[in-house]
Amino acid sequence: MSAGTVRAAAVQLDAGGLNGPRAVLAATAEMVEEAARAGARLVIFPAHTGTLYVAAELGLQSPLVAAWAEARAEEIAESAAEWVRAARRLASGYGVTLLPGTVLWPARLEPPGPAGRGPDQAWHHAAPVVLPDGRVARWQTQTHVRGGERELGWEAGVDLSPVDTPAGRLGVLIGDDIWYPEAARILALQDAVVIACPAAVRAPYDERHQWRGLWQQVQQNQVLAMEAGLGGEGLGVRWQPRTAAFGPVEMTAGETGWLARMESERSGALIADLDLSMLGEVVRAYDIFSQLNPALYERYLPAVYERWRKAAGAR
Amino acid sequence: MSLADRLREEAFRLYLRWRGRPAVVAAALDRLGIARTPNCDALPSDSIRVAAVQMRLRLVGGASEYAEMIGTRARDAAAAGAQLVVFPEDSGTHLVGMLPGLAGLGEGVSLAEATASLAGPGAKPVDVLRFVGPAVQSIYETTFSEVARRLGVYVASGSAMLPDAAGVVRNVGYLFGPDGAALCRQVKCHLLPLEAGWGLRPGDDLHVAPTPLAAIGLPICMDATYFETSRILAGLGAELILIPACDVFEGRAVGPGRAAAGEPTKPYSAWKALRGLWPRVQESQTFGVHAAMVGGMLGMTATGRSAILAPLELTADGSGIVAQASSWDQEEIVAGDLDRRALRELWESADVADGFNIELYRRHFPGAYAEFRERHAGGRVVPTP
Repeated sequence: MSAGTVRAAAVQLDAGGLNGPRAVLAATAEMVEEAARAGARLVIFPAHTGTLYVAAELGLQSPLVAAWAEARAEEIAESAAEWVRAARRLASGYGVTLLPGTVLWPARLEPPGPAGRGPDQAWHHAAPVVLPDGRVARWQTQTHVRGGERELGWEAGVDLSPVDTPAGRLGVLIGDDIWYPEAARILALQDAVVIACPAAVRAPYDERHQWRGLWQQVQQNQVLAMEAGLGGEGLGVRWQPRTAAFGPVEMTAGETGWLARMESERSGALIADLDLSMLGEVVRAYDIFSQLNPALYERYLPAVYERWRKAAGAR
Repeated sequence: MSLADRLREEAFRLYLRWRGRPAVVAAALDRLGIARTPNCDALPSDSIRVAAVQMRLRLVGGASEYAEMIGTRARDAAAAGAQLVVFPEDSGTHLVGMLPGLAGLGEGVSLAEATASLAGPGAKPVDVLRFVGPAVQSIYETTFSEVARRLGVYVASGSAMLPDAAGVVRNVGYLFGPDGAALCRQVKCHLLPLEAGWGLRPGDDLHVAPTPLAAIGLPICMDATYFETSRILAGLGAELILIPACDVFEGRAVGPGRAAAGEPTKPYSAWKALRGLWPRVQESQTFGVHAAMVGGMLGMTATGRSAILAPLELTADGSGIVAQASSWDQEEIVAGDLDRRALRELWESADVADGFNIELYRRHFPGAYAEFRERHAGGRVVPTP
């Protein structure tokens, strides 16, 4: 590995095996250990590992089927905080930057890490970024929430910022964020070079959806990225994982844009070497951002979104 | 420049204009015997048929040859039922062949080298384009307008590198209506570094032409690499986005990954092509027509597979491809049918706007772009940990 390379792990989990809080913590610990032994300095888990933990610990119904009651916000927060504390112990114990997955957090309560400000609604779907010293460096909330999730009381966050980690300047995309190019662009314009995506996509997850998702965001922003997928049945949903690591086509074998991908849907850690030095060479050879057109964007952004929203359904 | 040189230059300009006068174009199209089609008579319609012309990049010697080349291809596309015919980017570049001496320089000579050979060591490609521009513009606009009018169909001309009144050269495309009227003029907003190196300047606006066929946006080639293009066009009401393209293949290894692996650069890569119009169509829920230039001249080789595109949900196999060229290096006409009602139903049931986070966008757009540019004024740097 060259000096500018970060070995990273995207963990794929079968939700069917995460049927209790201890099972969630045990699976997390096992995978962090496996990744650390393989030399990973960055470990990313799928989405909803925290949600699975909280739901199992408190005996709650799946919040993906019916909204959690706000009246239980404090105990949900305490359970989620315990899940985060466990992640912090693992991160510091193994000396890794860790995204242990995501959890639903009561929007009106202060989260365990820096989150920026958000509106007061019921639930945020969020991911902590834990540094090797155990600190929560960032609490990133999903920023693109659509109708079905809004009906479950989810509220989109309004802060999207990368965070400096020993694994590079890291941005996090959650859920539908990966299908809204604005999100990755905002992160890249703030100099994110690695994007972590804790993912949980309902089956069937066609590969072409991934092409237009994280694969696309990597190409049009010239960043590196890893998607960690949830599989199996859990929280009342059948999930399909497509755990993978991505880079600009110029730095991948066969010019495919894939650095590595899991070939099965079983639980396991996908290890990939994120070569930031090579990424720098790709950018020097052809910097996509050199041809951005701020004069054009100033003319239309963000007003065009409001215009579109007003005409939605009848463009 | 001496007075004699100036007079010679002006005389040659006038000569080029005379050689490219509208009557020459008209006569060439008359000889083709293009007949009006009824393709657009039933518009507006929920089902529309569009075609992409995949054509070869080569030098032509004058207006007659050019009009015949364009007219033949448009006629073939209209014969396939197309109500809109889309030509590729640099469809006007063929006309630089009018410059004497260019054709004799040999295929491997680059535009920059040709410029130096024809106009002297200090000349830049933009100087040549500026010189020949007025003649090219006249032939170009007349040809596409006449072809559209004679066939009675919409024609998107692709693009040509043309000077404006101030002499600034830009990459410009047009949409002509079935009556030959120019409905839209679009300047390329995101250049290739190659184009910027030649001296071209980008545009700073995007337009949607509301037509009985569809509301159409016609950005150019690299514009499709930037999601902002299709977001703005869709936000302005576009349901169909055209991308005339001339993707130039560089034979030398560019990426360190390829060089390290010892792999030669492929002339065509489906993965690289996936960075263009296909994802823009998916993101912004529009239809798309990609028209590719193929072949080579002036040291450039272009490859591409023209295609008619739609959101994944609206294609039978879920691929997002309605029709696609069978080759990436041969001339073809690719035609396909688009269901506008199905698109409207998709918007009603699952409009991507439902997930927009406008407060987030207000925080970052447009300021983040200028701030980024300021921070990386000397070139983007990727820090290593």
